[in-house]
Amino acid sequence: MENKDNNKIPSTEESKMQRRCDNNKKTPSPKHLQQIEEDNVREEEDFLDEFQCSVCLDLLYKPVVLACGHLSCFWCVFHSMNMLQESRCPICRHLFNHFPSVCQLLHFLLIKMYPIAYKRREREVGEEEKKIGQFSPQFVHHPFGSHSGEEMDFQSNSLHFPIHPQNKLCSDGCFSEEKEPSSLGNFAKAIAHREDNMKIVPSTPSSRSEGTTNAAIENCNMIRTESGHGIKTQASVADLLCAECKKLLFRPVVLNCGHVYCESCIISSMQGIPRCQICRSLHPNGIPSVCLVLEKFLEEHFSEIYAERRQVFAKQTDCSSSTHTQQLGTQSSSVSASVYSSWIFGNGPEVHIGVGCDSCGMIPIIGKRYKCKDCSEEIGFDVCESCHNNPSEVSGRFNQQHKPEHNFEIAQPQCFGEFIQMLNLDHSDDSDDDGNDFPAPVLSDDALQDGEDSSNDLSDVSASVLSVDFAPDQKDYPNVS
Amino acid sequence: MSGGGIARGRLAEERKSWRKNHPHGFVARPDNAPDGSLDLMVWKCIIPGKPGTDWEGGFFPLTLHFSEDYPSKPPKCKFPQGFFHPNVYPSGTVCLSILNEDYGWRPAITVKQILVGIQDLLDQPNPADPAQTDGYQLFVQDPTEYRRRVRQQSKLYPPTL
Repeated sequence: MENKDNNKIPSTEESKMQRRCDNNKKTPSPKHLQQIEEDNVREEEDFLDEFQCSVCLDLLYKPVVLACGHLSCFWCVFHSMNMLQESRCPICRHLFNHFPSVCQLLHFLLIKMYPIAYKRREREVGEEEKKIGQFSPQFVHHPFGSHSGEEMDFQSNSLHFPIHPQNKLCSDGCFSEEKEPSSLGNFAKAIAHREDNMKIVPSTPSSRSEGTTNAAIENCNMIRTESGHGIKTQASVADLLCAECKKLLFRPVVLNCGHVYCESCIISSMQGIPRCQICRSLHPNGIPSVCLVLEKFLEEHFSEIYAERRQVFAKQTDCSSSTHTQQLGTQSSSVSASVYSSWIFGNGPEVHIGVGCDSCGMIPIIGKRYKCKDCSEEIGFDVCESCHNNPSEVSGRFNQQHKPEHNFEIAQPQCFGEFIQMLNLDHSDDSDDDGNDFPAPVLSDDALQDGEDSSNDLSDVSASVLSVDFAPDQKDYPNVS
Repeated sequence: MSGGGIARGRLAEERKSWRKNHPHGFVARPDNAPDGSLDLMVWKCIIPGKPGTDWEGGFFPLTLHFSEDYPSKPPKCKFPQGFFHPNVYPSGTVCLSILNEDYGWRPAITVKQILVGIQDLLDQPNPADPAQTDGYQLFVQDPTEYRRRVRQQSKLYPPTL
């Protein structure tokens, strides 16, 4: 599955200059003034095209990776989701019904590579969040993201820079530019310290390749990215390790919980339903597709190690059955469209329109809905039946301060008619004389000039049965947790 | 956050990207608001007819109307009223899968891709989904007359400047 990235827009100096100018034009509120002045001193980094969100066209912020392998910002994914039924990937229209957790590996990678640009994004998104009164999750750094413990319950807007052995913060808050010698050894120790409950031993050792891989790591684990403004940031192998084998990710897949694995590690360790080894949460709808943006980055920045990893895997798959790649990316969704429509017609399981599960991310919740009685946030805190019966320590998709001792009550779904009334339908679009009842001509994909990954299942048009005129607007109903 | 936040931000980025580079012969710029400022929500565009087709020589004005829900929802794309093409409604609105939220629209589709897609549609109409009687009937029943009408229309839209 080779990816030609869909909407690559080459970045040039000119555009970044414009971006900076535009930033400066914004009238800052006094408390941000100092920060902005500070940032103007250091110019914003250019970021790689693959780290541009294809929805907002800005640097990815709190990236979420969908089961089809495409990624977008937390809010960009959420706002493109359909609250009535399954949603479609904003990039390939692949169906999904779970809003994945933020991929913290990518989040911290972006902080590290583009501290200034990412900080600007944090500031802009933070202001927007305050305006709407809904918040994205906050994270503090933990190199291997051992799950919910790191989702801290604070709403401060300060950005938490990663503190790595080879990446210290200066007192003035900018990254140290001096390079320390390769410190993978230290890092391994650090890992051992932090993750003493987890295996450090690689799960697929082969003594020969092991040796060479390590040598290669020694050679190029310090990849330096120069941004052209004299600001040097770096991504190291240690930022991009598989949660299972602890080696450089190979064909990375991101689970619903946001944790990242080699595709082969997920396949070999999961018999049946994929379950995250870190947070123990189940990944719905089969094995996700490789995140091609991340793979491209790995291939380009760690070409030697990545090529070696490829060789090792090629040998392994020669021996074992090599058929599993065919099963990948074919699962579109576990929910058939009929579930949503049968609810409307008064039979079938409950569908909680506009309400998502804060644990597994299912939107809308199908089956019983458990609503927290003690969470005070306007957005509320809800879980689906299966997450209620197997609780995990989550703090809410929207940074709600939910505590394990909180009590739940079963909430009844709204009937469809009420929901429609609540939506306050805006019919302005329909005033046109077009009578948009005609199906539209199908444009061949080459006209779009994007090499789409062929796994997209576009055939399921029946799923759009509900979407005709009441795609919801978040403004109109607050209860979209 | 579904509204004002993202639509304008995205359109500002679209604008930058367009100014940086765009397909030859195309024009796309935000309209002027009554007070003289730029209205990012309405773009005035020009689509050149493809060389080697009956549409060659025409520079067709198209207006993109973006809603506050953009890019979750596609923009409405309009040629002048009465535009001659099987897949253009009498009002001028273009009927195309990628511009339909329920069929082919994806928020990742850029303004560039929309305009190039519509340029392709000009010479490759889809008779399965007619949007006007005039253009559709001639296209299926009288190809010679259809081509004459297309060439005639192309002359109506000479290059500006």
